[in-house]
Formats: sequence, structure tokens, C-alpha cells
Amino acid sequence: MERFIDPRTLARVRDMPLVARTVADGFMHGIQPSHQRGVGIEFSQYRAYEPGDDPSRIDWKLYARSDRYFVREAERESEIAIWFVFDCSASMAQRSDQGAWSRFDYARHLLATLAYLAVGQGDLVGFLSLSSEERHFLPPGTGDRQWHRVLRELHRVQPGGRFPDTPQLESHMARLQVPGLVILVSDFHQSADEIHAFVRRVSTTHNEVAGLQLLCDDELAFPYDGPTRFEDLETGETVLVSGRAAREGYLAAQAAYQDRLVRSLGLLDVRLDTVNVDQPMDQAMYAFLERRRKRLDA
Amino acid sequence: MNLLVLLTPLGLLAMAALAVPLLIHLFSRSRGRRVLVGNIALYRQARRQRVTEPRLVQWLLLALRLALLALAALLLAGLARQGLETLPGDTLYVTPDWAARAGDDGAFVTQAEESLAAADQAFWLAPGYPTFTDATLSPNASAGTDSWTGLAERLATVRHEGQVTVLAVGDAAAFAARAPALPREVRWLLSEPGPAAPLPSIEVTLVTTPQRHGDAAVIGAALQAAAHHRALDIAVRTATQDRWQAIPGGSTGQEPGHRIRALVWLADGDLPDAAAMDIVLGDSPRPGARRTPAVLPDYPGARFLAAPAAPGNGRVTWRDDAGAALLVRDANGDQRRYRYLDRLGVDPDGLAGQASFPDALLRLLLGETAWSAATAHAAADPSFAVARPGAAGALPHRPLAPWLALAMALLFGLERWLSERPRRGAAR
Repeated sequence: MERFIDPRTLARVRDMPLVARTVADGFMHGIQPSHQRGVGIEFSQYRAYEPGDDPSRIDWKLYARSDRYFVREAERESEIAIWFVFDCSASMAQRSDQGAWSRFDYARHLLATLAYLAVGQGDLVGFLSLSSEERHFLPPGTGDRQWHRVLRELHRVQPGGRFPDTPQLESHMARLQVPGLVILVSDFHQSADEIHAFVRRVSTTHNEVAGLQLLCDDELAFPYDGPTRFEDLETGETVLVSGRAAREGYLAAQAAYQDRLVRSLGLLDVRLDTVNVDQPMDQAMYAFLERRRKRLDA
Repeated sequence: MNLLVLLTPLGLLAMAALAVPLLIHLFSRSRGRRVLVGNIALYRQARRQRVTEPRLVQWLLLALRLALLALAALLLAGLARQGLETLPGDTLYVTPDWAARAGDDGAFVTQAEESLAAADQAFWLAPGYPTFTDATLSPNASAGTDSWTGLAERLATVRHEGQVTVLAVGDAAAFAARAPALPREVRWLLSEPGPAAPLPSIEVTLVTTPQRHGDAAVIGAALQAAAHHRALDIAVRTATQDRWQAIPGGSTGQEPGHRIRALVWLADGDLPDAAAMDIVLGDSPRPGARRTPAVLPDYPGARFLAAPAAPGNGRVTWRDDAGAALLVRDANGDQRRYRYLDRLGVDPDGLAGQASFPDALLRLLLGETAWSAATAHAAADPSFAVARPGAAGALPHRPLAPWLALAMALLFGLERWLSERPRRGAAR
């Protein structure tokens, strides 16, 4: 796992499924256990009947052809649903000056990859993209076809508007509050408290919420020196600052904001993982999943 | 005190270019690089010092650019420093030649004392320019050095505020022949000691018509004044055209070489064949003719040197500034016959109206030999003070162009560095 895929290379690949598979397969290699198999809807394979197996599971048609007992195996259906909630507000369009892709593009590919992994595990996968301008909802499903439905949704969405206020989301809330995992991919930039309100609403006792915060290099390092005019992607507000003089203030403000965010989400039992979109995606994913695994093991 | 001068003040017009960066600065203040961000609140908190630095840098850049253009304008205007040091008051220079020749001659001592008293400071015109303090004439510098070069160098490096007087040996013609332009006006006190030659006397007969009595009176008075300055014996007679030959000859008893008879013909008709005269001079006024301004320069000027003979038309002795003949010599044995191709006499516009024309005329009438004898008395004659005007704009100065260029290069580098700095930083 030492060698990760350079984000520039990945960004040049315009094929989202390919990117997702590339990242996921590389990631899976060696660390992912094989699929759990058992009773289910999706056929997986035949195996020879062994004593103890439910006789009702014997495939009699196959017995007629081969004169041997075979048992149909299907992938076990996951008990939990994984909801991918995609923040499509305009601020997601931010990108580093020298960056390979914007936060939004990164998020799309990341989601495609995560969905691929989830589908591969046989989980129920649902998708919800959120912005004040449009919302796309995909009911939970399993299998490759569900993954392709997710991909289609990912292709359709565009960044724009703001993160919607909770009242606008009432119709989707009930569906998100089923037992399962909600992965919220966002930059966690909010003008008031809308993301917090959303998380607070979604996070219940039998429902886990994981936050994936996407930030870019320029946001983290503030590499500006001269006079720079910052313009907000969502509100259009501009602020003219002297880069060098403002760096310290900005970094302090950024750290304080981050600290506040982590603590407030921690109160809701939401773990926040910060991902730098200018770093290799598989590396970020490995770190994210590794942290999740450790948490689940603990 | 080193004063700065502008050799080409018109170059200051280039200062108008200062308006360009000023206007650019006022009308298109940089709004900074545009960066799209997701959370403006963070940047809002950091903007306490948002305006000061960009503005300061902008003003600094503006000042640099203005200074750059101002320096360029000064370069065009030819900014220069005046001489290394300044000598206030009048200055006297004494050439070693002069002192060597002076010996114990009382006239020289007197001249030196008078000049020294008139000047605020005095120096030997010799390497090192030691101070000349004593009029008892003990030269501490060797004679024979090239005083002229020394003087030119001195004038080019030291700024003299008052009059510059030089006590030198030589006659005026010798100086005129080798005189390059000096950077400023210098008053020469020349003396040519040597065996005291007998002074010539001159007898001028002015032949005139009633219409030209005025001209004759002017010429006569001018010649008398010029001759008296040189302590020459002069006799001027005026006669009408029909009676001039009846005028008896002058006093006798002097050797022919020292008595010069001149006939100045201001009457009508051709020059008469006056065999008794040493020189015959006539004029031909051309009232209608267009005149080229003829300038009689500082006496003795190079324009009085003889010009090459024009074939078939006598020998042109004087020319005006345009090169046209002013004085033509006719070949006629020993007798010198001249025709002045303008009007002798009252002629404010012509050569004859100029202040030094009498000297030139007297020299012409005397001839070079007698003139040399007469100039031996130059030492005491204030009219021999030769003041050569300086070449225009050649005041002693040291050009500052290299320094200006260096300063411009430095400012330009600083300006580039300052203006490129933000872009470099952002590109990181």
C-alpha cells in the first residue's frame, strides 16, 4: 500500500467507473475479505451438498442434469443500508490553484469508489445529493445495477446553491433514519448551522453518521502572498486581503473553525474525517476505512 | 560648493512622462488576484490588515516608477556637476614664460602688481598651480611649459566665478593662430618684449566727396583713436577729390620703413595711381546689395588671415561669414592697393560699424611689420586684453550620466522585484 495513484493521473481518467474500480481494486487487494455467501436473492455460486445443509436449498433441476446434489448459494444480503449523502452546494466547486480537480470532482469519484466497495460487499446502497437548488434521491438497492444507478446520479449532479435548510429535507429525513450508516461527503462549510442541523436530525441511536470533510491544499496552507481578493462561491461576497499579512489570521481562524466543527460533531457522536483532495485518493480511502475498522473493532 | 547644471534643459520636458504611471496608478488600482473560496467567513476574520500592505507596496512601486522616469528625464536633460571646486572672485594666472621674459623690466613689475591688486587670487599657470604671491617675479616653475593646455584643463575642472585674467607672453596674432576654444571667457594680457623697435608713424590722406564727409570723419577719428592707443604717430588729412594731390607731403627726415603713407579713397571713380603712397585703399559701397552679416570677431580673429587668391580677381584678404570677399588686394608692384567691397564709414550694419574694426583697419594700413612693432606696446594697453568667448554650453562640469544610469538600473531592479513578488508568492 505504499504506492498510491497520483491524483493528477486519476483526474485525467474521465471514466468514473474505471477510476472507482481502479482505486477500489487496488485498495481491496490483500486486505479485503472475500464476500460472505449464503441465503439471498443474488445468485453467487453452486456448491456440493454437505450434511447439515437445508435440503430445501438443493437445486433439483441441477440434480436432474448431473445426478449430484448441489446447493444454490446467494450473496448474503446486508442488514444495514449505506446512505451516501453528497453535499452539492456551490462551495464544493473550490479547487487549489495547482490542484488536479475540484472538491466536487473528487467527491464524485470518491463516492463512486465507496459505492463500488459497498456494492461489492453486498450492502444496501442509497444515494442523496443535496443543494438548495436540486436534490436527487436514489432508494437503497444492491448489486452492480444499483452501483450504475449511483454513477448515473453522480453524473447528473452539478454544484450550485447552498446546503439546504433542514425543513426542505423533511421528505427525505424519514428514509435516512433507518438503521444503517450515513456517509456525508461535504466541505462542512455552512453559512448558518444547516449542516449541523442536518446531522443532528439524521443521527439517531440506531443510525451512524460518518463525515468526510474534503479540503484542498490552498485552504489548508493559504499560499497567497500579494493582495488577493477572495470571492465566496455561494454568496459572492468578496474580501480583499494582503496574503502575507492575513496568513496567520486565516490559519488561526481555520484551525478554530475546524476545532469547533470536530467538537460539535463529536457531541453528536459523528466522527469527522478530513481528506485533502490534492492527495492520492486511494491513500485517503485507505486511511478512512482503516480508521473505521479500528473503531468498529474497538 | 558643487552646483548641478542641466546641459539640455529642454530634456526636462520628458518629465511629462511622469503623468503616465501616476494616471495608471489612480485609474486602475489593483484589486488583487481573484480566488474563489467556499467559506468566506474565514477570510473575513483574517482581513484586519487587508488594505495596508497592498497599498503600501503600490505606493512604493509608484514612487519607484516616478523616480525612474524622473531620472530618465534628468539623463535626457544632461544633468551634470559643475567644476570640482569653485574660485570666488577674480582670478589671475601668470605663465612662467611671462615671468622668465620679464626679468627686471619695470613695466612688467608694474603690470604684475596692478594685475595682482585687481585680482582676488593669483596662481602660476604651471603644473600644480602654485599660488602667485609676489610680484618680484621669481618663477618657481620652469618656463616653456604649455600654458594653454594647462589653462584649458584648469578652466575645465575649476569653476571660476569672477573674471579670469592671464598674463602671458606672445603677440596677439600668435595666440589667435593657436587658440582652441576655451571653456569660458578669458582676459589675456599679452606682452611681447624684445628689442624696442622704432615705432612707425602713419600719414593717412582721406579723399572724399561732399556727400561722404561723414564717412571720412568717422574713419579718421577711428584711426586716430586706434593709433593713439598704441602711441603711434598718426596724421590724418582730409581732402576733396580734385585737390588731394596739392596736399603737401608730411614731415620728412624719417626712414621710409617707419613712415607709412596711406591714401583712403572715399571718392568716386577708380583708385588713382598715387605712386607716392605706400598703400591705397578704396571702397565700393553697395547700397542696394543684400548684406551678409559680417562679424568681426574678437580681435585678432582668424578671419583676417589672408585667403587664397581668386584667379583674375586680385587676392581676397578678408571674407565675411558667408565666404564672400570683403577686401581684395590688387597686384601692383610694391604698392599695396586694396578695395573694400562695402562701405567704409558710417555703416552700423556692416563690418565697419563694429567696435574692433578700427584696429583691423589700422593693421591693414600699417602692414604686418609695422603692426608687430606697434604691438610690442601691448602690455600696457587695455585694448589688448583678449577675451575669447567660451564654447557654448562647455562650462566646466562632470557629467553624471553614468551615475544616473546606475541609479536607474538599481531602481529598475527594485521595481521588478517588488512588482513580481506577489505573483511569485501566489504561484507556489
